[in-house]
Amino acid sequence: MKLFHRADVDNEMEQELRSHIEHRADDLERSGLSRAEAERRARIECGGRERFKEECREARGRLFGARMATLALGVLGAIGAMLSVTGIFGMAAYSVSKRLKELGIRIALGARRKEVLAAALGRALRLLALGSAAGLILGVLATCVLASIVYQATPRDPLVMMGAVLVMLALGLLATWVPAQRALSADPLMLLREE
Amino acid sequence: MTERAQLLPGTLDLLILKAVSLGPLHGYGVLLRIGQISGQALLIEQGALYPALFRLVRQGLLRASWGTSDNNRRAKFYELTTAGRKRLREETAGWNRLAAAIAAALAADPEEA
Repeated sequence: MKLFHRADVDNEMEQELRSHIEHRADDLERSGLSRAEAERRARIECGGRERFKEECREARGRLFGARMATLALGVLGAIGAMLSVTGIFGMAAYSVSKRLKELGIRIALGARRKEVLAAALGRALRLLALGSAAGLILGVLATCVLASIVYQATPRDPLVMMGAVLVMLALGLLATWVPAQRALSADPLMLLREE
Repeated sequence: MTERAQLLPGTLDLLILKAVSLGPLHGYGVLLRIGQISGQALLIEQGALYPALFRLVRQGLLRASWGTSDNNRRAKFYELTTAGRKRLREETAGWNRLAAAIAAALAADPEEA
């Protein structure tokens, strides 16, 4: 993220100025001044260093609004992702726990892993796909608006779209992983004993 | 002492591009080079130089990289990019046209008018 770039740029400017002062001091020293005096003079000549930094900041400041917008949207997106992960996890875990007995019986009757997963998480995955599709369409619409705010964003950037789809898939997998494990490890004997 | 000339707005970038086109330079080197090639008639203020360098890098006309100077000190060196070379050519041509036009205008005799 470009936002964290700022400290680097400031630091680099500082180094560049120090280098400038050293070179100037070298020249002054060659003209017969003592090193300390040469450095003092060079620093005084560079009195405008704060101004210089300010002007460079100003040049970057023109991007400030866009950067803030990007940051705000990023935070909102992260919150949205967290909510969706907890939501999917909750729903999947609930449906697995509700049907654990059924799943146990299916396993006892010889259901394969794929079938158990389909029974346990089919609904969750269907909802996930539906939600993702809706989100993708709305997302494309929203990017049209965002493109006018965010620096160098285009409404249909294939890389961004792919990224969004992959992230959604990853989040969905992450959220359904634990419930899926639980469904697969349903032990018919244990479940029957619990009755 | 040579007489100083006033720098016109917009000419600093052109001078920087020209100075750097003669070989990679660090910031202080750009100041010296401009002084040297203008016969000490043009002295650039350090406070104006670095923002201009920063701007030119941002526009992709200059490329900056850290290296070691003749004085054996770390310094950030600037060199022209292809876009910078092209811009220098264009701006030089533009400047020559403007200078010729103004010189012609100022040299006009009353009879010709």
